[in-house]
Amino acid sequence: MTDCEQFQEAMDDVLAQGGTPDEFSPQCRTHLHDCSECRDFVEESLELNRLMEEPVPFPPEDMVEQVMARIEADQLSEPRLPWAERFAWAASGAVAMYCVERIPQYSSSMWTTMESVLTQSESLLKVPLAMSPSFLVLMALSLLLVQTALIYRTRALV
Amino acid sequence: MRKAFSIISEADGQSDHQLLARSQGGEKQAFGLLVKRHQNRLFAVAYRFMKDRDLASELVQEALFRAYKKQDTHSGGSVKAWLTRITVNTCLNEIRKRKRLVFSEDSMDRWLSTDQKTDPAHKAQAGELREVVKSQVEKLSARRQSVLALSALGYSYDEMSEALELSVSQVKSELFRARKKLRETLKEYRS
Repeated sequence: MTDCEQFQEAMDDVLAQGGTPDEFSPQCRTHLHDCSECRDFVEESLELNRLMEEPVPFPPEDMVEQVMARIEADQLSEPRLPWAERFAWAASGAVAMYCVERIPQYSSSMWTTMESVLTQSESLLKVPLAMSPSFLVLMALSLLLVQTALIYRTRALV
Repeated sequence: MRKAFSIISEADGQSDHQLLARSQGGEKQAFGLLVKRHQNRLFAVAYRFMKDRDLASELVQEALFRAYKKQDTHSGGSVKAWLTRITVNTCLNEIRKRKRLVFSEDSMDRWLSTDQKTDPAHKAQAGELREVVKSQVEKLSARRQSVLALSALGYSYDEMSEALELSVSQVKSELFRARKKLRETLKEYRS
């Protein structure tokens, strides 16, 4: 990059932000004094600034009201059962965790408390205790499928 | 009128971040205050791109609606830059859509008007030069058009960097190249 190019870049930094040659660094001003090519550059840049200027009209007076009305309308059209999706995630997640926990190789002491709670629930709900790992995995997958269907159903309401 | 006045006085003394936090907490009115505060600047940005008052207004509304919908994703930087980014992206998407629709006719006309039909001796030079610059700006990349538009509206390099998700040196470089291209166009036009 030549000296002139470096100075021109520095000067354009100032001019592109609406600055004037008075704001150039002392080095730039000294260079400008001796370089007709860079003086032309500055003149062209200032002219470009003038050409780029254009009056901008004001936004419509009711812009805020329009935006807020659109937000209101959107909120009114939101699904009435957003809890269904959350419930689906929570329920299927809990059951999937339970199923994985029941597979012997994944069992660990951290599940002991949950185990006792679930065992009590099992006895109350009369859920069979002896289930094979493959059955449990299948059950978890089925629940995920049901959850996905429920989510699509909820979103279809949007 | 009274409503607009009360909105302004309520916004006084609260930063953009405070208003956004209130809005994120469910206070829609706070988002209205943010809109009120930034609408002129965002409208100017959209107008710079679209050159049409109605379209600019429509796109700003769309951008602000999108901003409200994804306000929870705001990462904590400048709210003004964030709103500007959404507005710029909305305008660029619209331009892309329109170019796809009218590409052949529109671009042919532009080429003819700049390269073949110009007759500087018979036209008012200032207006003509402005048109030449405008036409050249439209041929620049979206990124260069964006930096030109924002710099013409007084955005600082830091603000442009945040709004366009570019580094400050990238912004400076893009702006320098864009302006260089426009200066060359002016020179060519004159010669």
